[in-house]
Amino acid sequence: MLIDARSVQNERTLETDVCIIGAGAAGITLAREFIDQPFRVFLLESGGFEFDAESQSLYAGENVGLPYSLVQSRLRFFGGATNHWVGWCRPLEEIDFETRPRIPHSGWPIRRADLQPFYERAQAICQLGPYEYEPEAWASRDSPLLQFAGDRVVNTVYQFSPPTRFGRAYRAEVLRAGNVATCLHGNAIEIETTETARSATSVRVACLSGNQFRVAARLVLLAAGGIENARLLLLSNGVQREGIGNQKDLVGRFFMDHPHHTSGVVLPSDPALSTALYTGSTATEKVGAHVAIALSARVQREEGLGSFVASLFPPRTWPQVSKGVASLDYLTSSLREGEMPDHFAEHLGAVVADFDDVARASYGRLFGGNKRPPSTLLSLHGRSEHLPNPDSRVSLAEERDSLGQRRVRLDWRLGSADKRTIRRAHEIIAEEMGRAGLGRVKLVVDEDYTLWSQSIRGGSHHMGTTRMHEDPNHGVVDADCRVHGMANLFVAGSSVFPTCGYANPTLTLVALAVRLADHVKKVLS
Amino acid sequence: MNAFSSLSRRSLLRWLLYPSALSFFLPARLLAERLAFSSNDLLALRLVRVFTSEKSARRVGSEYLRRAPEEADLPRLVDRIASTHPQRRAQLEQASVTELRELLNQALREDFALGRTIDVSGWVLSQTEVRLCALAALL
Repeated sequence: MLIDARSVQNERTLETDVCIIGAGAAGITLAREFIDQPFRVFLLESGGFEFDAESQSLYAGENVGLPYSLVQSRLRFFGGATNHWVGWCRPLEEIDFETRPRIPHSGWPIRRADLQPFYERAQAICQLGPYEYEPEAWASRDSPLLQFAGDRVVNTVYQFSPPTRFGRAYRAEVLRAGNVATCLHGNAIEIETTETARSATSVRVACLSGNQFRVAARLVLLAAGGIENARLLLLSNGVQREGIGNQKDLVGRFFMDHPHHTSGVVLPSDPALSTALYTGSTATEKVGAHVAIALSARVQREEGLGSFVASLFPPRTWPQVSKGVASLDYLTSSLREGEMPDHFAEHLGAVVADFDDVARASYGRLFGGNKRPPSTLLSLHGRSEHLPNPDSRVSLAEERDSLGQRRVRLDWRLGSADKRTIRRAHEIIAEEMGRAGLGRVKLVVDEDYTLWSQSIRGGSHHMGTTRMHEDPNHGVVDADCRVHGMANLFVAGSSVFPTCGYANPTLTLVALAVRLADHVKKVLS
Repeated sequence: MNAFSSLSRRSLLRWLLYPSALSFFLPARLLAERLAFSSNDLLALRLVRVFTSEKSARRVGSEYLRRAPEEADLPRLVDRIASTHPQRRAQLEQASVTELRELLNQALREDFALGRTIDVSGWVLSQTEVRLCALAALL
C-alpha cells in the first residue's frame, strides 16, 4: 500500500502497530522482515521515489568541525543512502566488539558471534556472494595473496554488493505487502511520548506542502540515518526538554566516520608482483571481491591502536585532489617505466636505484601531471577506525529548516589517538612490506599531519550518535537497540555502533536491522 | 712517491669502484691492500659495489647525511652496518657478491622486523640500506 503524505488530512491521526521512520537500508530491511506478520507496519519516508532538491535541502546544516558535507553524504528519498552506495561490504572483526583497555569507550554489549547469524542473512539482502571472508578463499594461482613475514598485518576481504539500491530492489515487494503501508513525502518532526516519557505514543509528521498529521503506533523504530536519528531524538523535546533518551547528554555524541586518506605510495619490489586481488574488484565467478591490508588484532592490542585497513590502488583512482594527492600523482608520473629494475628485492642496488627519481620528485614543485604512471606503482589508500570521542558530535543548530525544525550542527573531530593509529599503522605496513621483500612505502602522513589533514575525508558513514551500551550512563540504546528508559522506542542503523572498526557499515547495520526485526516480532507476539 | 700520492684516500677508493679501472689494474682487493687501506675501507668498497645504480644510492645517501651529518663518517658507518649481527662483519668480508646481496637482504629484513627504519623524504627504509647509501655518498 502506498500513501502520499501530502494528501493526508491535516491533523489527522493514523494508527498502526509499528511505525518505521526512514526508508533506507535499515528501514526497508525492517519493513521486509515484517511482511505478512500479524501486525500493521507504517514505513515513513521523507522523500519520494526519486531525488527531490527541496526534500534534500532539509539535510542542510551547520558544520563546525572537520570538512564534511551534510547534504552530499546523504540522500533523502526512498532507499536512502543506498541510492549512491558504492557497495563495499564486510563484517566487523571480533576485536571491534571487545572492550579494549587502551581504547576508552570501547566495547559492545554483544559479541561478533551474536551477530553472526544475522550477518549471514544480511549477506543475501545485500545481494552478496557466499558468506566467505577468509582471504585464502579468494586467492588463486593467478591472483595470489601477498605473503607477509609476520603477523602484524593481515589480508582482509571485502565483497561488493551490485550495489543493491534498496529503494529499487525491494520497492515492489514492500508495496505489495498487505500489512505494510509505505508513506512518502512525510517528514517525522517529533516522536511524542506519554507524560512520563516512558513510552512513545505517536510520530508527528509534517509535509513540505504544509499539512501535518500523526501516526500513533505501539512501537516506533527510528531508522533515519546516523545523523537524523540523533537529530530527531533531540528535536523530540515536548516532554523531556533535553530530548528523548538524552538524560545523560549522550544523544548525538560519539559521532564517527571512517577517516579516508590517500596517504602513501607503494613501490613494489617486483614490477611483475601480482596485485590483482588488491588493485580493484576481482571477480571470482559473479562475485566481486577486493583484498586489502589490515592491522592484526594482536598489534592493535599490543600497541593500543584502533583498527586500520589500506587498499592498494592505481594512482588517481580517487577523485578528491588535495595537495597530498597531487604530490603522489606528481611523484608517480615522474617515475619512468624503463627505470624499474627487474629484480628489485633480490638486488640491493636496485632497491635504491628507484629513489633517484623519487627523491627528485619529492622535492619538486607539486604539479598535476598527465602522464600515465607505471603500472607497478600503487597508491596506499587508508581507512581507519574513528575511535569513540564524546566531543565529536551532532547537536542542534539555531537555524531552522523550511519545516520550522532546528537544523543539525555537526562537529566531526579526530583525536590524538586517531592520528597515532593512522601514523603508526602506516609505519607498520611499510615495515612489513619491506620485511617481506614486497616493496618500499613512502608516507604522506607527516609527523605533524599537515598533508594528512589536507587529504582526509569521511566515507559518508555516519555512526555512533545513539550508541549501544547496557548502562544508560554510557549508551543511548541497550543491546536490543531499545532506547534506555523507553518501553517501545527502538533505533536501527549505524547510529547504534559504539565503535566502528574499519569495515564499511552497511552489512553490519543491515544485520542489526534483521536482528531488531526478530526482536520486534517476539515483542509483538 | 707513487702515481697515486696526489689523490685523496676517498678519491682513490671511488676510483677503485669502477670496473674499467679494476679490469685494467690489479684486482681491487689486492690493490687496496697494497695501498694500505683499512679493513673498514675495504669492506665499504665491497658493500658499495652491490649497487646497480651508484648515482641513485648517492642521492639517497646524501639526503640522509644532510639530515644526519653525524653519520658522515665512513668507518663509523661500516661499523654500524657490520655490527647488526655478531658474525656479520666476518660474513660480509668473506662473501661472494651473490652471497653479499643475500646477506644484505637478510639484514634489511631484520631491520624491518625490528623496526630499525629511517624516514628519508617520507620513504620508510631500513637502517642498513640507508647507511649503505650513505657509504656510496661518502665514497
